[in-house]
Amino acid sequence: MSLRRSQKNIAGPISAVLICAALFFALAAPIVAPYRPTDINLRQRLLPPSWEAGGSAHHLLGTDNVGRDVASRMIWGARISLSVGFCAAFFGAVIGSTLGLFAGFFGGSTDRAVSWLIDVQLAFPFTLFAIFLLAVFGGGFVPVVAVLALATWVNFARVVRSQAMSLRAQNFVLAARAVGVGTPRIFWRYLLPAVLPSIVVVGSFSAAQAILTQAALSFLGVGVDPSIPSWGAMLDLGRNYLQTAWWMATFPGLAIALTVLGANLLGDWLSLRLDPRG
Amino acid sequence: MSDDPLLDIADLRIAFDGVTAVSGVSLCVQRGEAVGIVGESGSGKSATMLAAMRLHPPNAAITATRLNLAGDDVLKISEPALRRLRGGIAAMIFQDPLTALNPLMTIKSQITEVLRTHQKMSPRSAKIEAIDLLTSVGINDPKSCAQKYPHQLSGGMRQRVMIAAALAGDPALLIADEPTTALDVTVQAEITRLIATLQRERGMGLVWVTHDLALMAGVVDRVVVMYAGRVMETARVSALYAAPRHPYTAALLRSLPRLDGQRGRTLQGAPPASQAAPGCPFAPRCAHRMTKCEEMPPMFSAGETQAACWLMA
Repeated sequence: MSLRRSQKNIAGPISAVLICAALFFALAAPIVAPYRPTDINLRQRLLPPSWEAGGSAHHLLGTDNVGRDVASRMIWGARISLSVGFCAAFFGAVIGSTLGLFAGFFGGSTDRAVSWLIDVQLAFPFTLFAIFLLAVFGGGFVPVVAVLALATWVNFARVVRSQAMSLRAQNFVLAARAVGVGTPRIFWRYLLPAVLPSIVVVGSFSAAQAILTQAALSFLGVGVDPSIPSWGAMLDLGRNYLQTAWWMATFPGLAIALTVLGANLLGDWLSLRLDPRG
Repeated sequence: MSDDPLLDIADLRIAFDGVTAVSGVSLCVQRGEAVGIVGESGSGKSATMLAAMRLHPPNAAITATRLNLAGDDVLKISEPALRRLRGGIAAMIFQDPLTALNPLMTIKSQITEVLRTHQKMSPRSAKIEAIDLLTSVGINDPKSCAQKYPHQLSGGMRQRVMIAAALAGDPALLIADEPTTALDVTVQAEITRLIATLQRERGMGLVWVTHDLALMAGVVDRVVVMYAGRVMETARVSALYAAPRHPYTAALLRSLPRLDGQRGRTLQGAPPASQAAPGCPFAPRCAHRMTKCEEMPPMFSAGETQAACWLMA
């Protein structure tokens, strides 16, 4: 209990700081970033962070192999990570919740069809599937979001389906039907508001999952357009210089870890907060 | 059309996943008539009423020679017509007002929802009508009540709100499925009186499902006694209390606590778990059991009373 309580108290502020920081950098990138993310300066290649010997005060987190400012690229990279994470979770939520609601409420063959889809999806090694799709259809923002939404919808569908099943048997749904409330309205006014808290919680976990997977896909070279800086692509590039320029991979890696941590803590906090028994 | 009985059920049979719950129930409710259905838990009274509004769960298999609400065949009509029927012709209130209201909607929205489903009404006039309805079910401060959520109200208040929502479609028949079971004894009396008054004022038909014989005595005109998925006896309420014809009814009445301080006599045994055995389902617990009881008795009539017992033969 004390662990739960302390989690409730600490997870909120920590996640708020992490998420707000990431959001701030993403939104204010053109203002905060000292350089454009694509500015090349071959004379200042592989500069270490400013506090290291040989570092420059102009490049706080150093430069990469073609002299681009690591800090600026990371700030711009926040845009990609957050927008991909949010969009993937959003579309995953729309698809997954809709299917879950239908499956749970109508049961029968609808439920069997949706459950089958969920099982198929879960049985697939997702990263392989994503690489395959992106290799066939090409990378870019929209395909990546689509593929990641395909990864996250299952989370929503499972949770919403089970909740809709128990809601369907609730007296207030029966009572509403007994006075002539139609099925669309039952979905909209009775089921959706009741499952919304869970959707929000699953949403923040799914956003974390999507950010991580997107970084992994970029790392594997099938992510969004490589000319747009993304944390995963920076990590991939930095891998070749790990022994000579540790900062190239370390800082983007840290950014990924902290953002995912923030989204996960937000999910923890929300689930404790929205749980009436908490 | 208007000569049709409001609710006309003939030989209704319901089975859940192959297990029989209701076997051959017939009953009829005329316009403006109040009928009580009495029976123990599992006697099929709720299942019968849910089927009457086609609200039965999907695993229920239903057959009936007749299942009509205001002349419409409930099992055959289209979905849109069914929605007009539910709430518009017949409305249902349930046992537990704690769970029968949507916890995430205000009282006002739950009532205006019904109003706007059944009558084309502007949001404004629906709101006024909702307040009127809340007043008519005896809520003292309808305006502030309308803004509240169900968890902010007491059990009795919630049941009043349920009744208001049920009346919003101006139904000709109100089906009350144990409307007072979950309430305090004092509140039970108030709600009972309220439903009786509303029924008389509006000239509604009323079906009062209960296992409390005493509570409904002052409300209904006629009583249907059910046992193990069958109708045992139908009689005018005065006749039933004065001279029960079926041994089961008599046993039920004897089990009531009495004013002269005598404890009611408990009915020994339990209802049959399934209705596989032929014959009268009450026979194993019956004091008047005969060999003939191995065969199911038909309905015998005596005046306005009907009972399914060989004693009447």
